[in-house]
Amino acid sequence: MANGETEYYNESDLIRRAQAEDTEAFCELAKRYARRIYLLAFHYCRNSQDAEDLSQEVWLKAYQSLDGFRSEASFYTWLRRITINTFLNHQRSRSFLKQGQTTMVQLLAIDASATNIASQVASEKTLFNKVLFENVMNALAELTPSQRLIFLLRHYEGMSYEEVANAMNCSIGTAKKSVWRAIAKLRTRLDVADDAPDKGLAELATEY
Amino acid sequence: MHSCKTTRDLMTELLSDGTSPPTHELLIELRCCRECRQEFAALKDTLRLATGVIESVAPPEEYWADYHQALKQKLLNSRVPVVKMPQPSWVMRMFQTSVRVPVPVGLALVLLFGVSLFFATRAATPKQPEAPLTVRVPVEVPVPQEKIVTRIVYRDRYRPAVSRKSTQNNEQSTLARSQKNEAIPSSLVGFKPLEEIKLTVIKGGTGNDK
Repeated sequence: MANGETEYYNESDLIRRAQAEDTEAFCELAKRYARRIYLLAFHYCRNSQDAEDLSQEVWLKAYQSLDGFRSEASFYTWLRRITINTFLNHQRSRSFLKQGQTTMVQLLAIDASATNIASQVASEKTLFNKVLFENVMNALAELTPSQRLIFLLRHYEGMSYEEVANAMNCSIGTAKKSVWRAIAKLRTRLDVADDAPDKGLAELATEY
Repeated sequence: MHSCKTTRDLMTELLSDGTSPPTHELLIELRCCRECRQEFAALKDTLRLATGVIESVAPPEEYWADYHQALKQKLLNSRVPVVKMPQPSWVMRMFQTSVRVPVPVGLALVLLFGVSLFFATRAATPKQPEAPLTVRVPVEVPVPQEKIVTRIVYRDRYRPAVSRKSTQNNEQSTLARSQKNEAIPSSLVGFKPLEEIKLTVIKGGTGNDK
Protein backbone atom coordinates (compact mmCIF):
# COMPACT_ATOMS: atom_id res chain seq x y z
CA MET A 1 0.00 0.00 0.00
CA ALA A 2 1.51 3.30 -1.04
CA ASN A 3 1.88 6.03 1.52
CA GLY A 4 -0.35 8.38 -0.40
CA GLU A 5 -3.32 6.01 -0.32
CA THR A 6 -3.50 5.88 3.44
CA GLU A 7 -2.85 9.52 4.15
CA TYR A 8 -6.60 10.08 4.01
CA TYR A 9 -7.24 7.98 7.07
CA ASN A 10 -6.88 9.57 10.41
CA GLU A 11 -5.61 7.64 13.39
CA SER A 12 -9.03 6.85 14.82
CA ASP A 13 -10.16 5.29 11.55
CA LEU A 14 -7.01 3.24 11.35
CA ILE A 15 -7.41 2.05 14.94
CA ARG A 16 -11.05 1.11 14.32
CA ARG A 17 -10.11 -0.82 11.20
CA ALA A 18 -7.18 -2.48 12.94
CA GLN A 19 -9.49 -3.54 15.75
CA ALA A 20 -11.61 -5.19 13.09
CA GLU A 21 -8.52 -7.26 12.21
CA ASP A 22 -7.49 -5.15 9.24
CA THR A 23 -3.76 -5.87 9.09
CA GLU A 24 -3.15 -3.18 6.47
CA ALA A 25 -4.56 -0.53 8.77
CA PHE A 26 -2.42 -1.73 11.62
CA CYS A 27 0.68 -1.70 9.39
CA GLU A 28 -0.12 1.90 8.55
CA LEU A 29 -0.25 2.73 12.25
CA ALA A 30 3.06 0.95 12.68
CA LYS A 31 4.62 3.04 9.92
CA ARG A 32 3.72 6.20 11.78
CA TYR A 33 5.43 5.24 15.02
CA ALA A 34 7.95 2.58 14.01
CA ARG A 35 10.95 4.91 14.08
CA ARG A 36 10.28 6.17 17.59
CA ILE A 37 9.76 2.68 18.94
CA TYR A 38 12.81 1.39 17.11
CA LEU A 39 15.07 4.16 18.41
CA LEU A 40 13.87 3.66 21.93
CA ALA A 41 14.61 -0.05 21.61
CA PHE A 42 17.97 0.67 19.98
CA HIS A 43 19.17 2.94 22.76
CA TYR A 44 17.79 0.61 25.34
CA CYS A 45 19.51 -2.57 24.14
CA ARG A 46 22.38 -0.89 22.16
CA ASN A 47 22.20 -3.43 19.36
CA SER A 48 20.40 -2.96 16.04
CA GLN A 49 19.39 -6.61 15.66
CA ASP A 50 17.96 -6.79 19.17
CA ALA A 51 16.31 -3.42 18.62
CA GLU A 52 14.54 -4.78 15.54
CA ASP A 53 13.37 -7.91 17.33
CA LEU A 54 12.27 -5.97 20.38
CA SER A 55 10.39 -3.30 18.42
CA GLN A 56 8.63 -5.89 16.30
CA GLU A 57 7.63 -7.76 19.43
CA VAL A 58 6.11 -4.53 20.68
CA TRP A 59 4.03 -4.23 17.51
CA LEU A 60 2.96 -7.82 17.72
CA LYS A 61 1.80 -7.37 21.30
CA ALA A 62 0.02 -4.17 20.38
CA TYR A 63 -1.77 -5.94 17.54
CA GLN A 64 -2.86 -8.79 19.79
CA SER A 65 -4.14 -6.51 22.51
CA LEU A 66 -5.63 -3.81 20.32
CA ASP A 67 -9.15 -4.77 21.40
CA GLY A 68 -8.23 -3.49 24.84
CA PHE A 69 -7.46 -0.01 23.56
CA ARG A 70 -10.29 2.27 24.69
CA SER A 71 -9.10 5.64 23.36
CA GLU A 72 -8.84 6.97 26.92
CA ALA A 73 -5.25 7.98 26.15
CA SER A 74 -3.59 8.63 22.82
CA PHE A 75 -2.59 5.64 20.74
CA TYR A 76 1.10 6.43 21.19
CA THR A 77 0.78 6.66 24.98
CA TRP A 78 -0.86 3.24 24.97
CA LEU A 79 1.80 1.90 22.63
CA ARG A 80 4.58 3.34 24.75
CA ARG A 81 3.17 1.58 27.77
CA ILE A 82 3.37 -1.74 25.89
CA THR A 83 6.88 -0.85 24.78
CA ILE A 84 8.11 -0.20 28.30
CA ASN A 85 6.50 -3.40 29.60
CA THR A 86 8.08 -5.38 26.80
CA PHE A 87 11.47 -3.85 27.57
CA LEU A 88 11.15 -4.62 31.25
CA ASN A 89 10.14 -8.21 30.51
CA HIS A 90 13.17 -8.56 28.29
CA GLN A 91 15.36 -7.06 30.96
CA ARG A 92 14.43 -9.99 33.17
CA SER A 93 14.74 -12.71 30.58
CA ARG A 94 17.09 -11.79 27.77
CA SER A 95 20.86 -11.80 27.71
CA PHE A 96 21.45 -8.94 25.29
CA LEU A 97 21.68 -6.51 28.17
CA LYS A 98 24.69 -8.34 29.51
CA GLN A 99 26.65 -7.76 26.32
CA GLY A 100 29.56 -5.39 26.33
CA GLN A 101 29.38 -1.87 25.10
CA THR A 102 28.49 -1.42 21.47
CA THR A 103 31.13 0.66 19.85
CA MET A 104 30.60 3.09 17.04
CA VAL A 105 32.36 0.77 14.61
CA GLN A 106 30.04 -2.11 15.51
CA LEU A 107 26.97 0.05 15.19
CA LEU A 108 27.98 1.36 11.82
CA ALA A 109 28.87 -2.12 10.61
CA ILE A 110 25.49 -3.48 11.70
CA ASP A 111 23.47 -0.62 10.41
CA ALA A 112 25.50 -0.24 7.22
CA SER A 113 26.40 3.36 7.81
CA ALA A 114 22.83 4.07 8.67
CA THR A 115 23.17 6.95 11.02
CA ASN A 116 22.18 10.35 9.88
CA ILE A 117 25.21 11.77 11.62
CA ALA A 118 27.57 10.10 9.22
CA SER A 119 25.66 10.96 6.10
CA GLN A 120 24.51 14.49 6.73
CA VAL A 121 27.53 16.33 8.00
CA ALA A 122 30.58 17.52 6.17
CA SER A 123 33.68 15.37 6.15
CA GLU A 124 35.71 17.51 8.57
CA LYS A 125 32.97 17.24 11.11
CA THR A 126 32.44 13.54 10.62
CA LEU A 127 35.23 12.45 12.91
CA PHE A 128 34.09 14.79 15.66
CA ASN A 129 30.55 13.51 15.35
CA LYS A 130 31.69 9.91 15.42
CA VAL A 131 33.63 10.53 18.60
CA LEU A 132 30.72 12.41 20.05
CA PHE A 133 28.34 9.61 19.13
CA GLU A 134 30.59 7.01 20.62
CA ASN A 135 31.00 8.99 23.81
CA VAL A 136 27.26 9.42 24.21
CA MET A 137 26.66 5.74 23.59
CA ASN A 138 29.40 4.76 26.00
CA ALA A 139 28.09 7.11 28.65
CA LEU A 140 24.63 5.58 28.27
CA ALA A 141 26.14 2.11 28.30
CA GLU A 142 27.61 2.78 31.72
CA LEU A 143 24.11 3.13 33.14
CA THR A 144 21.97 0.21 34.17
CA PRO A 145 19.20 -0.71 31.68
CA SER A 146 16.58 0.81 33.98
CA GLN A 147 18.52 4.06 34.44
CA ARG A 148 19.07 4.27 30.69
CA LEU A 149 15.42 3.69 29.97
CA ILE A 150 14.41 6.33 32.51
CA PHE A 151 16.80 8.85 30.94
CA LEU A 152 15.45 8.06 27.48
CA LEU A 153 11.86 8.36 28.61
CA ARG A 154 12.60 11.71 30.24
CA HIS A 155 14.82 13.32 27.61
CA TYR A 156 13.93 11.49 24.40
CA GLU A 157 10.24 10.85 24.99
CA GLY A 158 9.69 14.02 27.01
CA MET A 159 7.71 12.30 29.73
CA SER A 160 7.30 13.95 33.12
CA TYR A 161 8.91 12.38 36.18
CA GLU A 162 5.52 11.30 37.43
CA GLU A 163 4.75 9.53 34.15
CA VAL A 164 8.18 7.91 34.13
CA ALA A 165 7.77 6.74 37.71
CA ASN A 166 4.34 5.27 36.92
CA ALA A 167 5.59 3.56 33.79
CA MET A 168 8.69 2.14 35.45
CA ASN A 169 6.89 1.30 38.68
CA CYS A 170 9.39 3.22 40.79
CA SER A 171 9.38 6.36 42.90
CA ILE A 172 9.79 9.85 41.46
CA GLY A 173 12.99 10.17 43.48
CA THR A 174 14.44 7.08 41.83
CA ALA A 175 13.55 8.43 38.41
CA LYS A 176 15.21 11.77 39.18
CA LYS A 177 18.30 10.07 40.53
CA SER A 178 18.63 7.99 37.37
CA VAL A 179 18.47 11.10 35.21
CA TRP A 180 21.02 12.94 37.38
CA ARG A 181 23.34 9.98 37.11
CA ALA A 182 22.97 9.88 33.35
CA ILE A 183 23.69 13.60 33.03
CA ALA A 184 26.74 13.28 35.25
CA LYS A 185 28.08 10.38 33.16
CA LEU A 186 27.45 12.26 29.95
CA ARG A 187 29.17 15.34 31.38
CA THR A 188 32.26 13.32 32.29
CA ARG A 189 32.36 11.47 28.99
CA LEU A 190 31.70 14.37 26.67
CA ASP A 191 33.76 16.90 28.63
CA VAL A 192 32.15 19.82 26.89
CA ALA A 193 33.83 23.17 27.55
CA ASP A 194 31.81 26.29 27.02
CA ASP A 195 33.68 29.39 25.97
CA ALA A 196 30.79 31.73 26.61
CA PRO A 197 29.44 30.85 30.03
CA ASP A 198 27.69 34.19 30.47
CA LYS A 199 25.49 33.31 27.53
CA GLY A 200 24.14 30.38 29.49
CA LEU A 201 23.19 32.63 32.38
CA ALA A 202 21.48 35.04 30.04
CA GLU A 203 19.58 32.12 28.49
CA LEU A 204 18.56 30.97 31.93
CA ALA A 205 17.28 34.43 32.77
CA THR A 206 15.17 34.56 29.61
CA GLU A 207 13.92 30.96 29.85
CA TYR A 208 12.34 31.33 33.27
CA MET B 1 29.70 30.65 51.69
CA HIS B 2 29.92 29.57 48.10
CA SER B 3 30.32 25.88 47.35
CA CYS B 4 30.83 24.83 43.74
CA LYS B 5 29.77 21.26 44.56
CA THR B 6 26.47 22.37 46.03
CA THR B 7 25.87 24.68 43.09
CA ARG B 8 26.64 21.84 40.69
CA ASP B 9 24.05 19.63 42.39
CA LEU B 10 21.50 22.43 42.07
CA MET B 11 22.37 22.85 38.39
CA THR B 12 22.03 19.14 37.68
CA GLU B 13 18.71 19.11 39.47
CA LEU B 14 17.50 22.07 37.45
CA LEU B 15 18.55 20.57 34.14
CA SER B 16 17.19 17.13 34.87
CA ASP B 17 13.91 18.52 36.08
CA GLY B 18 13.40 20.90 33.20
CA THR B 19 10.09 22.28 34.46
CA SER B 20 10.70 24.06 37.74
CA PRO B 21 12.41 27.49 37.61
CA PRO B 22 15.93 27.95 39.02
CA THR B 23 16.08 28.75 42.69
CA HIS B 24 17.12 32.19 43.87
CA GLU B 25 20.09 30.60 45.57
CA LEU B 26 21.28 29.05 42.30
CA LEU B 27 20.98 32.33 40.39
CA ILE B 28 23.07 34.13 43.01
CA GLU B 29 25.71 31.40 42.95
CA LEU B 30 25.88 31.51 39.16
CA ARG B 31 26.28 35.28 39.16
CA CYS B 32 29.10 35.29 41.64
CA CYS B 33 31.11 32.27 40.43
CA ARG B 34 32.53 32.14 36.91
CA GLU B 35 33.47 28.46 37.21
CA CYS B 36 29.93 27.55 38.13
CA ARG B 37 28.65 29.53 35.15
CA GLN B 38 31.00 27.61 32.90
CA GLU B 39 29.90 24.33 34.41
CA PHE B 40 26.27 25.20 33.97
CA ALA B 41 26.79 26.12 30.33
CA ALA B 42 28.76 22.91 29.75
CA LEU B 43 26.01 20.81 31.35
CA LYS B 44 23.40 22.42 29.14
CA ASP B 45 25.49 21.75 26.05
CA THR B 46 26.08 18.17 27.13
CA LEU B 47 22.40 17.54 27.47
CA ARG B 48 21.68 19.21 24.13
CA LEU B 49 24.37 17.20 22.35
CA ALA B 50 23.34 13.92 23.92
CA THR B 51 19.69 14.41 23.03
CA GLY B 52 20.70 15.37 19.49
CA VAL B 53 22.82 12.25 19.11
CA ILE B 54 20.08 10.01 20.50
CA GLU B 55 17.54 11.44 18.08
CA SER B 56 19.86 11.39 15.10
CA VAL B 57 20.47 7.66 15.11
CA ALA B 58 18.18 6.18 12.49
CA PRO B 59 18.41 3.44 9.94
CA PRO B 60 18.19 4.49 6.24
CA GLU B 61 14.89 4.62 4.38
CA GLU B 62 15.47 1.34 2.56
CA TYR B 63 15.74 -0.42 5.91
CA TRP B 64 12.13 0.35 6.75
CA ALA B 65 10.67 -1.41 3.72
CA ASP B 66 12.12 -4.72 4.89
CA TYR B 67 11.22 -3.93 8.45
CA HIS B 68 7.54 -3.38 7.67
CA GLN B 69 7.43 -6.37 5.36
CA ALA B 70 8.76 -8.58 8.13
CA LEU B 71 6.34 -7.05 10.60
CA LYS B 72 3.36 -7.62 8.30
CA GLN B 73 4.37 -11.24 7.89
CA LYS B 74 4.59 -11.66 11.65
CA LEU B 75 1.18 -10.08 12.13
CA LEU B 76 -0.39 -12.42 9.57
CA ASN B 77 1.27 -15.42 11.17
CA SER B 78 0.09 -14.37 14.59
CA ARG B 79 -3.54 -14.68 13.61
CA VAL B 80 -4.92 -17.76 15.26
CA PRO B 81 -7.57 -19.53 13.16
CA VAL B 82 -10.84 -19.48 15.01
CA VAL B 83 -12.18 -22.99 15.59
CA LYS B 84 -15.88 -23.07 16.25
CA MET B 85 -16.67 -25.12 19.26
CA PRO B 86 -20.04 -26.87 19.53
CA GLN B 87 -22.50 -24.84 21.54
CA PRO B 88 -22.82 -26.37 25.02
CA SER B 89 -26.26 -27.24 26.31
CA TRP B 90 -27.94 -25.02 28.92
CA VAL B 91 -27.19 -27.57 31.61
CA MET B 92 -23.48 -27.48 30.76
CA ARG B 93 -23.56 -23.71 30.54
CA MET B 94 -25.14 -23.55 33.96
CA PHE B 95 -22.28 -25.60 35.40
CA GLN B 96 -19.64 -23.71 33.50
CA THR B 97 -20.92 -20.26 34.31
CA SER B 98 -18.82 -18.44 36.81
CA VAL B 99 -19.98 -15.56 38.94
CA ARG B 100 -17.62 -12.97 40.31
CA VAL B 101 -18.22 -12.49 44.00
CA PRO B 102 -16.34 -10.01 46.18
CA VAL B 103 -14.02 -11.68 48.67
CA PRO B 104 -15.88 -10.51 51.84
CA VAL B 105 -19.19 -11.78 50.47
CA GLY B 106 -17.56 -15.04 49.50
CA LEU B 107 -16.07 -15.47 52.96
CA ALA B 108 -19.42 -14.69 54.57
CA LEU B 109 -21.13 -17.29 52.39
CA VAL B 110 -18.53 -19.91 53.24
CA LEU B 111 -18.90 -19.10 56.95
CA LEU B 112 -22.68 -19.30 56.70
CA PHE B 113 -22.43 -22.63 54.92
CA GLY B 114 -20.07 -23.94 57.58
CA VAL B 115 -22.34 -22.88 60.45
CA SER B 116 -25.45 -24.34 58.84
CA LEU B 117 -23.57 -27.57 58.13
CA PHE B 118 -22.50 -27.75 61.77
CA PHE B 119 -26.04 -27.32 63.05
CA ALA B 120 -27.42 -29.75 60.48
CA THR B 121 -24.99 -32.47 61.58
CA ARG B 122 -25.82 -31.77 65.21
CA ALA B 123 -29.53 -32.11 64.54
CA ALA B 124 -29.02 -35.38 62.67
CA THR B 125 -27.22 -37.19 65.54
CA PRO B 126 -29.54 -39.74 67.45
CA LYS B 127 -30.84 -38.54 70.74
CA GLN B 128 -29.57 -40.18 73.94
CA PRO B 129 -32.24 -41.78 76.30
CA GLU B 130 -33.40 -39.16 78.63
CA ALA B 131 -32.39 -39.37 82.26
CA PRO B 132 -35.22 -39.62 84.88
CA LEU B 133 -36.63 -36.26 85.55
CA THR B 134 -35.68 -34.87 88.90
CA VAL B 135 -38.02 -32.33 90.42
CA ARG B 136 -36.95 -30.51 93.47
CA VAL B 137 -39.78 -29.47 95.74
CA PRO B 138 -39.03 -27.77 99.06
CA VAL B 139 -40.64 -29.65 101.93
CA GLU B 140 -41.08 -28.13 105.36
CA VAL B 141 -40.15 -30.43 108.16
CA PRO B 142 -41.71 -29.55 111.57
CA VAL B 143 -39.04 -29.00 114.15
CA PRO B 144 -40.18 -29.38 117.81
CA GLN B 145 -39.64 -26.13 119.50
CA GLU B 146 -38.24 -25.93 122.92
CA LYS B 147 -40.90 -25.40 125.51
CA ILE B 148 -40.09 -23.08 128.35
CA VAL B 149 -41.69 -24.05 131.56
CA THR B 150 -41.61 -21.73 134.49
CA ARG B 151 -42.00 -23.40 137.81
CA ILE B 152 -42.53 -21.71 141.07
CA VAL B 153 -40.94 -23.46 144.02
CA TYR B 154 -41.94 -22.54 147.46
CA ARG B 155 -39.50 -23.26 150.18
CA ASP B 156 -40.24 -23.50 153.79
CA ARG B 157 -38.60 -20.59 155.39
CA TYR B 158 -38.45 -22.06 158.81
CA ARG B 159 -37.16 -25.41 157.82
CA PRO B 160 -34.24 -26.40 159.95
CA ALA B 161 -30.92 -25.84 158.41
CA VAL B 162 -29.40 -28.89 156.95
CA SER B 163 -25.90 -29.52 156.16
CA ARG B 164 -24.47 -28.20 152.95
CA LYS B 165 -24.01 -31.68 151.70
CA SER B 166 -27.54 -32.74 152.27
CA THR B 167 -28.70 -29.52 150.68
CA GLN B 168 -26.65 -30.28 147.63
CA ASN B 169 -28.07 -33.77 147.49
CA ASN B 170 -31.47 -32.39 147.86
CA GLU B 171 -30.87 -29.91 145.05
CA GLN B 172 -29.53 -32.66 142.84
CA SER B 173 -32.54 -34.80 143.57
CA THR B 174 -34.78 -31.86 142.88
CA LEU B 175 -32.98 -31.26 139.56
CA ALA B 176 -33.23 -34.90 138.69
CA ARG B 177 -36.84 -34.83 139.54
CA SER B 178 -37.45 -31.78 137.49
CA GLN B 179 -35.56 -33.30 134.57
CA LYS B 180 -37.63 -36.41 134.99
CA ASN B 181 -40.74 -34.31 135.03
CA GLU B 182 -39.59 -32.47 131.94
CA ALA B 183 -39.46 -35.71 130.08
CA ILE B 184 -43.12 -36.12 130.83
CA PRO B 185 -45.11 -33.28 129.41
CA SER B 186 -46.52 -31.51 132.39
CA SER B 187 -48.91 -28.77 132.91
CA LEU B 188 -49.44 -26.25 135.67
CA VAL B 189 -53.15 -26.30 135.23
CA GLY B 190 -54.79 -27.14 138.50
CA PHE B 191 -51.67 -26.48 140.49
CA LYS B 192 -52.36 -24.95 143.85
CA PRO B 193 -49.70 -23.87 146.25
CA LEU B 194 -49.92 -25.58 149.64
CA GLU B 195 -48.89 -22.72 151.78
CA GLU B 196 -49.21 -19.05 151.50
CA ILE B 197 -46.70 -16.69 152.96
CA LYS B 198 -47.88 -13.52 154.34
CA LEU B 199 -45.34 -10.81 154.49
CA THR B 200 -45.91 -7.87 156.73
CA VAL B 201 -43.49 -5.03 156.46
CA ILE B 202 -43.38 -2.95 159.66
CA LYS B 203 -42.06 0.42 159.07
CA GLY B 204 -39.14 1.33 161.26
CA GLY B 205 -38.47 -2.19 162.28
CA THR B 206 -35.26 -4.09 161.99
CA GLY B 207 -34.42 -6.80 159.56
CA ASN B 208 -35.13 -9.47 162.31
CA ASP B 209 -38.74 -8.41 162.68
CA LYS B 210 -39.93 -10.08 159.51
